[in-house]
Parts: sequence; structure tokens; C-alpha cells
Amino acid sequence: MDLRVIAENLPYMLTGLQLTVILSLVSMAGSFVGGAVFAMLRLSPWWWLRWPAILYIDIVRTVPLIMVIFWAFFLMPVLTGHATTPVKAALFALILFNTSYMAEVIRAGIQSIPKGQVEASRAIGLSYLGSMRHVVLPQALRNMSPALVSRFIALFMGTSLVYIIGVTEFFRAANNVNNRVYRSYEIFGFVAIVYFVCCYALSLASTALERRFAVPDGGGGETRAVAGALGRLSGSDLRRPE
Amino acid sequence: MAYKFDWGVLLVYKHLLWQGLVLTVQLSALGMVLSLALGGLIGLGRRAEARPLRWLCGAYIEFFRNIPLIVQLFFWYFAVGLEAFPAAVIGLTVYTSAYIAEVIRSGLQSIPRTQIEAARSFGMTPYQVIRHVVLPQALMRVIPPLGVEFINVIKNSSIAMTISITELTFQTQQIESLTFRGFEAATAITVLYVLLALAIVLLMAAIERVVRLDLRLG
Repeated sequence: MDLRVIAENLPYMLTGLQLTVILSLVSMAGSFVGGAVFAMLRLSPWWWLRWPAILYIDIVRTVPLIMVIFWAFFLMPVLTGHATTPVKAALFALILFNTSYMAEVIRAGIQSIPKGQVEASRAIGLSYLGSMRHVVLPQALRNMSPALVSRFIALFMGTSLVYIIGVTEFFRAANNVNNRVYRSYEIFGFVAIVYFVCCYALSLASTALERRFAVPDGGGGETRAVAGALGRLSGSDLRRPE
Repeated sequence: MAYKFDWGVLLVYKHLLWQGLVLTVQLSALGMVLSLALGGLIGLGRRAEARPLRWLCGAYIEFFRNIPLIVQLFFWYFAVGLEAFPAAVIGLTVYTSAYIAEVIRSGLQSIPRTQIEAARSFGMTPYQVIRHVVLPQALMRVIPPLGVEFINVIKNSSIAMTISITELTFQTQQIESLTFRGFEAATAITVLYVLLALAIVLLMAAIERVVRLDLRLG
């Protein structure tokens, strides 16, 4: 054990961690927008909007993240006509991939609001968008919040894979250090601990949110069942990055 | 789009695709079986009477699912110094078993304690309670989320390419670097992954049917 290698290379690795955080936040924001669009397409009454959305969501979720990263890397130059930077390709891939999972989280959130509420708000004169804005979305967001945190954890861990196209995020930075000093135990042990601390703290936050919103005032059994369903999604299916 | 497709490269390099497919299937199958066994034990441990055992199993789950798989693989391969294939199998198993343990635990938890108490008060032995009350119900609830985990094993096996396992995703890169036909290679391999996932969906549906029939008879 020689912890000096960690201390000496800490500034460099922290620069990588910074990029990891930026990649996670930007792609979370991007895939939230994308996910909202695909969730609405999937809930659309018209099949020609619904089917492509279902196809996209279900296919992307069966493909490994590394494949999506390759896709972005090979596809973007063909589509745009010129080469892209690894960071752009990484962001594109992470958003493309995570959008399909976010679409399912957001769909579950929207569907967790009883139809009767929308009908009631329409009946008292709110427009469709008004009822979405004032009735459905505030509650749906609250119901979704634990699953959103879980998605963020998955995304945060998933960013480690963009190392293969040469983005110097935390994992690649640590790997570069290891290639120079060859101290695998110390370096990868340190990397594991940093990821664990970040992700575990976030998962505690997710559990706290779940507990807080599990039985909203006046929600009754229905909301509890929905919270349970979202918990299940966040527990297994929606957690995974790869 | 000025790109000209050349799907012929797939035929020329079909041996690479085949080799990759075989490795992906081998790795995933081993990962599924081993992580089901390990995850099942740890999931049971989460519901054990002894508090230290419960805590230990909880710690295992939280530890291994909050570290990216690629970091774990690198640890087994570079730090511990295992051969590539055992490192990939162990890494995939340990990581997945943490998720499967959670699936098993929530399956067991879904059976109300009152049912177990009622069965006990009928005079059933603990073994009979598990065999006739808990297991049949838990099994049905666990099958769909297990299917999701199995598909994740296939997807996660792609990360083994980073420690030099020449599985499907590795071959995408291989064919691309040999021919500059990344687009065609990525398409073919994406289709293979979708088909593998489909196979798991069909397999789990078949298992569910068998279990359901079995329960009705028994």
C-alpha cells in the first residue's frame, strides 16, 4: 500500500471527476427533455406517434451502453459530415441511451396521476396544457423523484464507459495515472471508493425521497401502489447504466 | 448522406461475429447462473433471523451495486491479477448478484407475515411453510424482474471488452478498425443484442408458464 500515489495525482484525478459530474448533469438535463418528449409520444392516442416511440424505447434498452457509444462515434460523422470531438459523441450517446429510460420513468410518473383528476380539471375549464402544468406534472414530478435520482446514479456510473472513446473523465484519468505509476490496487481501490461514496450518498437521498413521498396527504392506497411500482422500477430495471 | 453501405464486409468477417457471439453467450450464461445462485443466497440472508447476517448481506448489496462494473472488472483484472475470462465472470457475477439479491428480497418481502403465521398455526413445519406457502408465490413475483436482470447481464457482458475479452462489442471495434465499416458492424451487432434480449424474454415467458402450470397441479 502506498497512498502517496493517490495524494500526488489527486489534482489530476479530480479534474477528471469534474468532467464526470459535468457529463452526468448535462446528459441528465438532455435526457429529461428527451424522455419527456418520448413519454408523451408513447402516451399519444395516435399510433403513428406511439409506435416509433415504443420501438425506440424498447430497442435502446436492450443494447449495451458501449454499443450506443460506438454508434454515436461512428454515426455522428456520417450524419453531420465532419468529425466530432469525443466529448460531444459521449454526451450524444449518454443522452440517446438515457432518454429511453427517462421516457419510462416519466411515463410511469404521468400515469400515476388518476385520469379522473385530468377530467375534473378539464371540466372546471383548464386547457389540456393547463391541466398538465397545474395538476398532473407537479404531482407526477413528486412521485418520480426517487426514480429520477436512481437514474442519475445509473448515469453517473455509466459515464465511466465513455473512457473507451478517449474522454478523460474520472475513470480514464485514474487509468492514465495507473498506466504511468502502475499501482493498480491503490488507484482502482481509490476509484471504487470515490464512486461508492458518491452513489451511495445519492441512493440514500433516493430512499429518503421515496419514504417522504410514499404516502402523500390524502393520496390513499392508489398513490401508495404507484409509489411501490416506481420503487420497483427504480430498484432494478431503471437503475442500470449498461 | 454521401456514405455508401457495404454489407458484404459482414459476410467476409462472419467468423469474427460468430466468435464474439459465442463469447458473449458463454459469459452471459455463466454470469446468469452464478449470480442467480449467489444473489439468491444473499437475498435470503437479507431476510435472516440473525442481525449481523442481515447487515452483512445488506452491505454486500450496497457496496457492489454502487461501483461501476468497469471499475470492478479493472480491479479483478489489473489489481488482483486474474486471467481475463475469470476476472470477467467474477466481476459480472458479483455485480449482478447484488441486484438479484434485491429482486429475491423484495419477492420474499411481498408475502405478508400473517400468511406465514397462519400456516404455522395450522401446524405446518417451517420447511412446509417455505415449500408450500412462501416459495410458490415468491417465485411468480420474481420471474419478471429476473428477466430484466438477465438482459442486463447480456448488456453488461459488453464491458468485458475493456479487459480484452473478444466478445460481440469488441468485434464491432475490430471490424471497424479492419475495414472502416463501423456503421455496418454496429448495425449487425445491435441486431444480435436485440435478438439475445428477445430470447431471454421468450425464455422467461416459457418458465413462467411452466411454473404456473406446475403450481396449479401441485
